[in-house]
Amino acid sequence: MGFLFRSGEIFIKGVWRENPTFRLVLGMCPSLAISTSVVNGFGMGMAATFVLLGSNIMVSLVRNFTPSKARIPIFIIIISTFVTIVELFTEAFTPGLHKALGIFIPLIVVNCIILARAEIFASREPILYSIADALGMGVGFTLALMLISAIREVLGNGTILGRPIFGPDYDPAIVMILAPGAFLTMGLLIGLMNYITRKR
Amino acid sequence: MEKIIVIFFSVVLINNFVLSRFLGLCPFLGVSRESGAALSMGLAVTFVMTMASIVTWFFYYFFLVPYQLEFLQTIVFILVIATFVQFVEMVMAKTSPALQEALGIYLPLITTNCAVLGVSLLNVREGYSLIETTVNGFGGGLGFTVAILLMANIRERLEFCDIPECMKGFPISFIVTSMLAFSFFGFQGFFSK
Amino acid sequence: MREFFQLAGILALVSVLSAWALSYTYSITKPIIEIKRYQKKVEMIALVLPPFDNQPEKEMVQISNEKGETVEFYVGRKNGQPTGVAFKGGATGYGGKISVMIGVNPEGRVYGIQILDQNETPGLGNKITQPSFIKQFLTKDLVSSRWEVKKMGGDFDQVTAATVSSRAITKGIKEGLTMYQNNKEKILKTG
Repeated sequence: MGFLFRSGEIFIKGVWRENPTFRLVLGMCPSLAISTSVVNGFGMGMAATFVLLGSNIMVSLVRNFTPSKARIPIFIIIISTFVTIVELFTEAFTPGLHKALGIFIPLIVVNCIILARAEIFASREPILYSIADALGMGVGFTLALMLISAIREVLGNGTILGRPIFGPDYDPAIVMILAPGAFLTMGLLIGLMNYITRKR
Repeated sequence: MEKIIVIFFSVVLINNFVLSRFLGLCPFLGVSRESGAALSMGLAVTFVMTMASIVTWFFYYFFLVPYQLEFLQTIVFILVIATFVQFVEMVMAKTSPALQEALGIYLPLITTNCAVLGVSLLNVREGYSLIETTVNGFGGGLGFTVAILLMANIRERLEFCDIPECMKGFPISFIVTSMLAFSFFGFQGFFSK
Repeated sequence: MREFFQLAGILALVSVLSAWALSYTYSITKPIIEIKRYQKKVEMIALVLPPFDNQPEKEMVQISNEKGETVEFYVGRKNGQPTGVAFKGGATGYGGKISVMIGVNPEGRVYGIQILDQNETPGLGNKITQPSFIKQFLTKDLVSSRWEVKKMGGDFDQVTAATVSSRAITKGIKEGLTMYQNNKEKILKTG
């Protein structure tokens, strides 16, 4: 039963205490680029979680057979295989999301979160814990993306999930959809997270 | 010729890789504390981005396209980039230890820099010729260097400011970046008639 | 030496597994992707053409423009007679390429416009996709209007604070119409 407990612990850690976006500050590029709407944020989160899950499982499975010197190339091959699978699947089944996320789908390969978890965790821990870690980090990443996207979408577009929530006279702060707004949102959110965790 | 000039200025100022395209953020935030280190990182990134653009272009048009293997571009490009960086490290160790000293730790980090893979993929998506690709890669790196140098100089001065505890480090860096992005926004529409 | 072979062996094994997984995925997804692309094209053509009873995407005429690019003209017919022609136009806007599907009646009057792709500034330039902006181009042709925005002496409204995007799409449609007029006979010839 102990391992179920530990799995739960690992999962929660990935979501909150070691949230990849706000605490580990990894995977910044996609977090800022595609978080212009909650739908996009969720889609990217799911895609990255899928890759993270696949990668952590495979890396954990082969961890006793991979010589230390070859591990980075092997990680890269494993991760990019899953990313290409996601690319093809989104193009075939969710073309709208594929177009919205654009170049950032293949860029999941160099999303520091995935390589970092493979190197730090999955290559050393058994499969069950690696799955928990992947799910925790994935969910943490997705929730973070959705939070950033929600702020940017509401303030910058006046909609949430595509539905307008203010009246037709609302003049959105377009800057929130653009680059400066992205950086501002991220900076303020990380500051806020720091403040909350410091108070405890 | 005109198109090349447009591409160059676009990628350095208007569609700056860091401030406008959100690529290369990890090293941008990580290495911008001190302007000397920032310059080294900028030069290393420029070099890798230029060479990677050229090498991946060749791989794409001479290998992936003829065999209709375009869907493998992500995996092939990242492996090419990783191999190239390894190769450069080995060559530098043998030929110029001084240069290795200066750029040493940054080179392997650049492999996972989304700007390098990003520019390779962009070159292919825009259908650039070899010359256009090289200009795009070089300009992209130059834009990154400009951004990271600006950031480093600002952060050096920030050391003397009174920043609230929870905002120290990443939060204030992001806010500063936001203002840099804002100011670069003024370059938009530079080439409109 | 032995270590080298071990390393190479493991890498080769992983690469082979990866290649197998990817080829399999590709073989499943490729047909679906192709079908979706085709369906999208058919849909866009139907949206800009006057009523037809043939399959315009199958009756395609290819013409090269001055830049050397090939433009495809899709002819819609009813009872064998041409009712309209659809083709893609393009322009360079504020944020890059704008791609548009233009539908004209056989004389060259605009019947329908669908913006396929654009990268203009959200909230400003991308307002060119709104029907309220697009509809000013319908029923116009090269003779009836001056193809520029009002600010520059033409007949068309621009989106406030998005002159570049507005001018770009106007120019793109105008160039498309010009190309159609220059090649009209060739395109409408009943094959």
